[in-house]
Amino acid sequence: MSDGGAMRDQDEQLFDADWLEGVRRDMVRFARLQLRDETLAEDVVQEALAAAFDKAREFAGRSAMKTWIFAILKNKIVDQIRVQTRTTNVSALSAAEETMDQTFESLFKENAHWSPAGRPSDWGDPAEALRQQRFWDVFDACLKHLPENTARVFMMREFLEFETPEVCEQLSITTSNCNVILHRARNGLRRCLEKNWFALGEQPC
Amino acid sequence: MQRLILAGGGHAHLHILKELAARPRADIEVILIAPYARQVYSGMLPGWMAGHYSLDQCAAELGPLAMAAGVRLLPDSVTGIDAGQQTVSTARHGKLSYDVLSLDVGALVDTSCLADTGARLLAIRPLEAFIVGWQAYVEACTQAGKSQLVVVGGGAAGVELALAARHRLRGLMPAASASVTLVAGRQLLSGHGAAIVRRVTDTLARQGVTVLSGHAAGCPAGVMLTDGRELLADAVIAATGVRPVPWLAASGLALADDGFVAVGDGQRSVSHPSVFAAGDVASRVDAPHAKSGVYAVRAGPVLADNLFRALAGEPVLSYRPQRRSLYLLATGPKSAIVSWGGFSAGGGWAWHWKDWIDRRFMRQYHLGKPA
Repeated sequence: MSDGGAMRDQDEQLFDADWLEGVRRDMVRFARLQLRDETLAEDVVQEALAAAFDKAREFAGRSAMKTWIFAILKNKIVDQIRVQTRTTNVSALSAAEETMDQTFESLFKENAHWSPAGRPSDWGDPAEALRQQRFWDVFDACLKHLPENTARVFMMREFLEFETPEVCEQLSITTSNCNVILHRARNGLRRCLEKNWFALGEQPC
Repeated sequence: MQRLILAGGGHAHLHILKELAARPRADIEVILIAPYARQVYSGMLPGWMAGHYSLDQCAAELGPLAMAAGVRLLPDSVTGIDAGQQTVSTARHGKLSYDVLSLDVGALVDTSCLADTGARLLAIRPLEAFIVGWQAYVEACTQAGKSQLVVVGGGAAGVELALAARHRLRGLMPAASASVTLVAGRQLLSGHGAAIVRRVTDTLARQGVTVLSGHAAGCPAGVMLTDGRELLADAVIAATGVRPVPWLAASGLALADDGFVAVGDGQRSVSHPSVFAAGDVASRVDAPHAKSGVYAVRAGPVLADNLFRALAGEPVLSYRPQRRSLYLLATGPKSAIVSWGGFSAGGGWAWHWKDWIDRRFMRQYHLGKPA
């Protein structure tokens, strides 16, 4: 076959061990955050990677493959989360975080909504940027820089695209609690992304 | 008195009911645990979707069959098995012990790659849930005057369902508004001969079903394909691979690599001689075959024999699944494609043949009803 060599090269590039290990690490962190179960997280990531390896020839390149792995992973996590609720009730936030959220809630009570004018102009809505080209930047920032529960709620809403009521139901939190956490996440991400990618180049948050 | 538990009302168990009605066994207590009052025959499902059959024609009522067989029917779901203790747990009737257990509970569709779709997700198992979902969908898109249906799965089931759906929907709205897309995986009908693949491809094109190759993952708009393209959908039918019911994993039964009950040549569990399984819940470790209703139907008579032999402490008979099976694919209008080995043909006559075979098969389970 004339394109056999090219195919092999492409496979080698796709299966590059370092790149894959990096992808796997991010995916496992994301899955662990959402499922709160080490073994389950490893399992769904393994399944998502297998679903991609299986079809390696159908991808135009690494970025297409990464998008696919993530799409499969998202579905597997949503499936698992729904199975978990059917069997047991997912535990609520820990006591310490509950207190933290109450503090935050009180901060936000007077002005529960973000004022549009308060939004920095060069970095709009992180959720909006997600749908655009900054997807992996936001994903990365979420995993690396947001506190665990904040990241879980934000990623559940924005990456797994659960509706807010379902996020609340799954995590046994109130709507206002959830909104506060989402505010906090957007706020944190905005600061972090502005610092890192939009204004000054990459720096620690 | 010895107790035989039949878990699930699949095709193989229907045969056992018929057998018991013909030759009653007063010395054995037989209990059938089934979650639904009827058993819908999957072979006739595409015909029902297309509008050719009423649901009654495709279903066997379990109540009358159980009564005629002298079998106690428990309308309940199995929630677990302890093969070591020889008990079955149910949702509403607690734990039941058995001397011999027969499993014919089918499989679930693996929808884990589609769970995140924003569209209505219709999995073809459990069948009863699919029936409700399909009826609701037909109603919704009749009102909307348009449909944007995506069928995921390039096997025989995906092909039949896509064609049936297209036939039904184009009768309810302008043909151009009744969009049906089949996402066929790497290859349409893989494992089937080239001649039938060609014939099916032509039929799909003629009937106006769009066929895309590649795999699908759920996304808010509908589904995303392997190449990154997003397909808008108002409903997604999952006719993808199967997965076992979750409680099998903790049953203590030896499982095959695919997670289903590992059975040997008498449909008997390789780890627990008091447990038998047939239909999709079983995987023959000695002679693996596709998970298709055809095999469950064929296994019925052997399974019946072996259950009674096991209760009597006699050695079980072996059953060799057929090497190739006759496939009759319903293709939307009253037309079908026949495939057997390398041979394939199609047309209205094939539909009449399929219709005759299916209705004759169901007639034996329609007690007191005109067929």
